[in-house]
Amino acid sequence: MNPATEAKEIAEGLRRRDVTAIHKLVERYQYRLTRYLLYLTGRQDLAEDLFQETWLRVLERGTQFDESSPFEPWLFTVARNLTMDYFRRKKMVSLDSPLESDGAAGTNEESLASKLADHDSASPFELAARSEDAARLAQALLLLAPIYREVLVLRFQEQLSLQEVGRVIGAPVATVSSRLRRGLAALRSHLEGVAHVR
Amino acid sequence: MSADLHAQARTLVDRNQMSGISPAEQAWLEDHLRQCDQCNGYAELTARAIGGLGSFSFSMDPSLVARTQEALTRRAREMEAERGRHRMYLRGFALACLFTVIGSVLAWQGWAYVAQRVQLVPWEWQLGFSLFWVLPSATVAMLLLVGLALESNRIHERSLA
Repeated sequence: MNPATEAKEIAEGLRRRDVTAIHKLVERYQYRLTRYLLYLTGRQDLAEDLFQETWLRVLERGTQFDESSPFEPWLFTVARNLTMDYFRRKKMVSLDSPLESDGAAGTNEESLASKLADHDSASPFELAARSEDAARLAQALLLLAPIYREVLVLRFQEQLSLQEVGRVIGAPVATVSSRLRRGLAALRSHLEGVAHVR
Repeated sequence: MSADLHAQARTLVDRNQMSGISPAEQAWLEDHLRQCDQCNGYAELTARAIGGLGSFSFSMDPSLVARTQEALTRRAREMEAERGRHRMYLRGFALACLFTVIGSVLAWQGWAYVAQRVQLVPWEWQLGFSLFWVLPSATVAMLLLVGLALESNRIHERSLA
């Protein structure tokens, strides 16, 4: 099925609030959405809660999905907004806080990294690492601010274009590129075994 | 080889991974990478970093999908019930409007007839009609409107929560 027809079908199902159609979407996007939320939050339990909330929001706001664009970026935007709301409610670091400095190592980011590190003895990234490179990357990801983690996963795992990533995070393409470069630089540093992550 | 060329090559390596580069840039980059071990190492490291991201394999709670689907079914039922209540208010309002119009026409004729019989001047019976007929109807209509607005507001707030 071509993407335009697919988006149209999804939009139709969402407009009708067709629960069966949404159940199918849950099954289809379960892994990708969980992975994105894991990258964003760094916590398995929180990612699973937000996964459920995201789909409830999709049911309630499905009429807002614009069938002229693909479904994935919209789904990730919904998930991201809920995650940001969660962090704001919990008075934790905002995902956008380093936006102004765009990459400057801030105390907020360090605070989140330490929170993530303290949460479990092994992070979801470390548990998911299947190779030596991946193990090093897991450490790098844990120290990396969420704003960098999310652009990395959206671009290189979800294969969204820079424009689509920009739509999801609500930032211009130049900001997306800048964050990607910084994120990649941090990952390269870790692979090289260099300690300076940011 | 100048430092600018290395910087340019590394920028192209990043751009190539992020958004792609033109065939001419690709040809220049490949040529540069063949001659420069450092930049070649940079390109390999970048590819390894991106490849490493793809090698993560997250485990999922197997019951998560079922739990989510259950929650969706429940919420859809609640939303349907909310919409039912909303429709009921709308119908009530429409019915009240209809009865007000029909009733008012009939009552107007009735009051005019009685006023004529008891020899009231028009402004007297018209004032009485306004106070004892139009005012209560308008009040009931307003109350229904407020109820409808409150219900809509409640549904909206709930969807935002």
